[in-house]
Amino acid sequence: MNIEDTNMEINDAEFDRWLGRELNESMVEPPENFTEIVMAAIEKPPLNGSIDTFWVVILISISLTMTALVGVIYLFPSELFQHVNISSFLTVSNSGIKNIVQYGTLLLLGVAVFYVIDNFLEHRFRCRKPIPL
Amino acid sequence: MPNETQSNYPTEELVRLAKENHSNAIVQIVNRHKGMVFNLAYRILGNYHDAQEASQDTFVKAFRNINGFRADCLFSSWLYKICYNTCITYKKRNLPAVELNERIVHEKMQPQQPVFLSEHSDRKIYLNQALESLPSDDAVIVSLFYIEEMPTSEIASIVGLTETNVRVKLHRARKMLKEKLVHLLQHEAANL
Repeated sequence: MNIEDTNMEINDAEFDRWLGRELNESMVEPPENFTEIVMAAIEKPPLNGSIDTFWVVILISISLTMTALVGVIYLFPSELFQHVNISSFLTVSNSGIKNIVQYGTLLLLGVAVFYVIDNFLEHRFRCRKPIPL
Repeated sequence: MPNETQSNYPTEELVRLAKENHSNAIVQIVNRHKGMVFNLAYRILGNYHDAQEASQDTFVKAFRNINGFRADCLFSSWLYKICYNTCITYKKRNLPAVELNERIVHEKMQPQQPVFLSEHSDRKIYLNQALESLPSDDAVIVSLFYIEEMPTSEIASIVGLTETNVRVKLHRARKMLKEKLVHLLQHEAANL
């Protein structure tokens, strides 16, 4: 960019080259400890305590399973489970599609619960493996 | 302790290792991309502190969801898209504060005394002033195009616009930058 004689007739290609070069040189630098801060945020330490992580996972799994077995049935109206059995599923009737929808809903609910628990446990208890690069 | 030195590993390999939770691979990826991510955040949010928070948040989100990265685009594009979305959300949430900070930064960037044109630091100030006068979307497009040398199709996927739109915005931003810089330099030349 010619600024010596304030000649403002600047070629587009010349301006592009100048802009690219200047933008590269004018980049704002992040703080020096940026990487350390990011790594600290990513690598949350596992729960501290005297109990082994393995047993914490087992205990949580058992608690969740028992709670689900006892509690889930009361969360839904009784009509929802009225036709949910193998015989009604196999019977060709007017309510066949409705049964399939009910089975599907329960199956989806099961998958969703599994996915949430799986994700929670993976994020909470996983640890990073350092390797030399 | 993570190895801080830069390696020659290709990004694809580092991403594969990062998916297996290898911390050194993650460090390498952060070191490679922190400059551009930070600058994008700075261009959108307009101040250093917010840019730092948003760019750190970007990396945390990216590595927590790295298994969702499919190699159907460049890793850098995927990362910059997360950065762009994070900053937009951040900007909406902190709109009044960001606007105020932008004004403060802009005021700080105003040269108080006439300066000599050929100094690099002054060119940096003028360029920053010109960039800050652009809408944040345009500044991001300019940065990706000129610094990262990304094709307009990749930029379009990052900012969620069509390629034609990106080209139009790029053309307009380039023209505005040129006019703004010429105006600033003419003004300074007149003061000499």
